[in-house]
Amino acid sequence: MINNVLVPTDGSEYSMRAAKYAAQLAELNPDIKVTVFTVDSVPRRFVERHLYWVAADKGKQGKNIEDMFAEERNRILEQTEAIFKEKGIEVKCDHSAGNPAEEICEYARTHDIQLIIMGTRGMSGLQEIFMGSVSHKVLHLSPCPVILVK
Amino acid sequence: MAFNILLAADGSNPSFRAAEKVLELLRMNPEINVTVITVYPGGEAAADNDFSFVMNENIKDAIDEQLRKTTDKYREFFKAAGFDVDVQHRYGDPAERVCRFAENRNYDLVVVGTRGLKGFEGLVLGSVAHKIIHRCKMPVMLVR
Repeated sequence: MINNVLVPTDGSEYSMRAAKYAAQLAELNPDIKVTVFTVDSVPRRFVERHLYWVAADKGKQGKNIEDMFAEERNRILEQTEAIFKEKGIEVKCDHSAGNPAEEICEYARTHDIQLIIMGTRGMSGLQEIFMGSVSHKVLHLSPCPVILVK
Repeated sequence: MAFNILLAADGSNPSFRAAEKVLELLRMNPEINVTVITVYPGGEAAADNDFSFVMNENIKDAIDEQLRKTTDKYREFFKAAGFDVDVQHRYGDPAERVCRFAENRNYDLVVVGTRGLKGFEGLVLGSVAHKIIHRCKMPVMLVR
């Protein structure tokens, strides 16, 4: 049985396409549980050290770095979740921080995921490279089958 | 809602693991249509070029027999679980043929198994699987 499906997203148009496809697949059987997952890939340390002035400025508005990460992450998750909600499909949202491909595969391993559905490219959107580095790495590290959506 | 799956099958162990995944999907929704496609590598090229005399009838029959034997294994695998699948045979470049077939008939999913050998940089994908992932416009499921 393929019960738990993971849909990693970075908010890119490729992720949205993968989410639409996952929604189509989820409609095949109500037992399919979808988890929408995003990874904070900007290192916190970099933001703390080099973008401290942005953080300080935002600080005036009562936002700390953690809030800024949460805001971006929630925007991505809500945008992706909306695709499922349109079809009346309930999904679980989750997130992590670090190297996207490694985090995706680690999440799949620890959360009994039987299928990963993702786009071939993401935010970097390099047209000349057919497959993005994240999807390429996920294909190699994944503990379960992966569907790549073009 | 119709959902059509194309299973690229070559008789290898990974492609039977791919068949198992297709069966899991089929069990979740018996309305799914499954086609098993097996490609004899290079047969068509030999038939098409100047060396077509090499493709005499006996050889063609032998190849067809081989293709039938391979696809029968998958047909029986699905039959044992109570499902009928469509079977297709082609000659030529396997990845090219699988992709063209999937695109012409608008399959919702192409499923392919991969050897999953461990190399210096981790997993090395089988060349056919690799090529299918790169050139196929339809969603591709890779099964190790």
